[in-house]
Amino acid sequence: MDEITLVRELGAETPLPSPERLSRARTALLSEVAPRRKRRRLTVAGLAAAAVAAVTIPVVVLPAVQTAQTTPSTPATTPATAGTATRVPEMTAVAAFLDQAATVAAGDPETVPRDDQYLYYRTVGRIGTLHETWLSIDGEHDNRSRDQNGNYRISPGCRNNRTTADDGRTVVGCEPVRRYRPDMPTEPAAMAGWIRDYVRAEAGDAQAGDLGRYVGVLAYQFWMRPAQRAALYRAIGLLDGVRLVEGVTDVQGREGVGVAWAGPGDTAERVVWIFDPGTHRLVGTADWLIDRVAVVDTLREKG
Amino acid sequence: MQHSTEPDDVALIRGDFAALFDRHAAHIHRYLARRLGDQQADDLVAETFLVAFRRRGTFRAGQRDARPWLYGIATHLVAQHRRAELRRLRLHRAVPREPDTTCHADRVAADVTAAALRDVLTSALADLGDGDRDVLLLVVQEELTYEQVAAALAIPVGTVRSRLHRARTQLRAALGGSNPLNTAEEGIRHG
Repeated sequence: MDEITLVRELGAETPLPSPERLSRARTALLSEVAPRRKRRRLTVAGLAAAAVAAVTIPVVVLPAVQTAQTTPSTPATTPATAGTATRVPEMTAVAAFLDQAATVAAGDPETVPRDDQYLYYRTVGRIGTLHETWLSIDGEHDNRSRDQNGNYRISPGCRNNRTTADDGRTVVGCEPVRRYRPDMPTEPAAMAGWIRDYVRAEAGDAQAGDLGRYVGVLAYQFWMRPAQRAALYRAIGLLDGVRLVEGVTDVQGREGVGVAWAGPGDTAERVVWIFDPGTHRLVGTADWLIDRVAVVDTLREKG
Repeated sequence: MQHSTEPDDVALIRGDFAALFDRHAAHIHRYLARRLGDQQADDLVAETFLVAFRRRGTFRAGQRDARPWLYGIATHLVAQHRRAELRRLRLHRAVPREPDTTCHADRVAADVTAAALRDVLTSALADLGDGDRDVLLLVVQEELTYEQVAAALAIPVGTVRSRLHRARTQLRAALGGSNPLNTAEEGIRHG
């Protein structure tokens, strides 16, 4: 036994902390990264606003020149015709744009994945780095990823409430994360309600003020049928605080239309989505481009 | 508990810091606890992530793994508590482990020998240069690569190698320059 082994064994005397032990530190962190806001009644609008906040996984604060180009969420130039007996609710510019994006998304082919399939994502970063991810649809099969160095990694799924940690230990008590939710609604208001229920189930009422961080994965890590994705776009397009930002560029320098959101207390908007201005397709974020999304049969298939 | 493959640390740093905490806090806490004890680790793990949050703009997008960055911050915090670390290492030496009276006599003897070695070891660790100890523990206990340690401590990889070499040499010398545990075990086995 050499000195390295002795040092390693000394370290092995200290176990990993329990989640309970970490909870105080986690609370302290959350109070800093997401300051508690005035408690407010959860409304459809509030929930959907949180949903927009959620998609800030790749947060980018726009340069001043771009922020200056922000299109305010004032009514779009398609108001109800004067003299019409029935008043048609006015849509903001961002709502109108996302409504068009929803219409496009709703026209995609209907694909309902099987539990034994995988959600495949291929994304390209700003300097051309490639990431690939295979996520088990039912959460019970293994997942696989490829990092920018070309290294592949398997992340075990959760089967019979058991999974395997990075160090090889069996962890009991996991719950599989399903990547397709058949119960996800196809109507905007219902979608907002679904998001609320999802976050409460995932994080509990105590985290209601931090909805954003929990629903962010919905946009990128769940397979949605066309009507579900359309409902998501429309739900978000209805909200206060959401803005359309012109003149943003994606990771390949192509001009796009940004959907941005500034939450209460935020001093700058964050572009959370970039759409192709011509096709109204979601192309990614300011940090990465969605190169391919597909449902595949194996951990090797690339869609 | 589910190990998700996406988003990577870059995305979490920019949009979901709580998830970054969930992914790495346990190991950062253990690192701090190894060096400063559980109580200090409870406080400093939060501080590590708060510092990381405030400095998130400095994290290079080309890095996929945030661990070296977080270990670097944690090591910087450890440096602010050097006295506590040295006190802890010397406490290891002063407080003998409780003997397990149910053990077989040979086992007890082996434990005592190992405990004695551990005392020498912790004393030798306390005597290492601070930078040498940082490198040694990050490589051996935290299993970072030389490149990751270099990134964590903002030093060249060559410096990581030289510090590790110096630390090992110093430990070997403190432990008797040979293989003391094997010698002791053989003494027990054949004595």
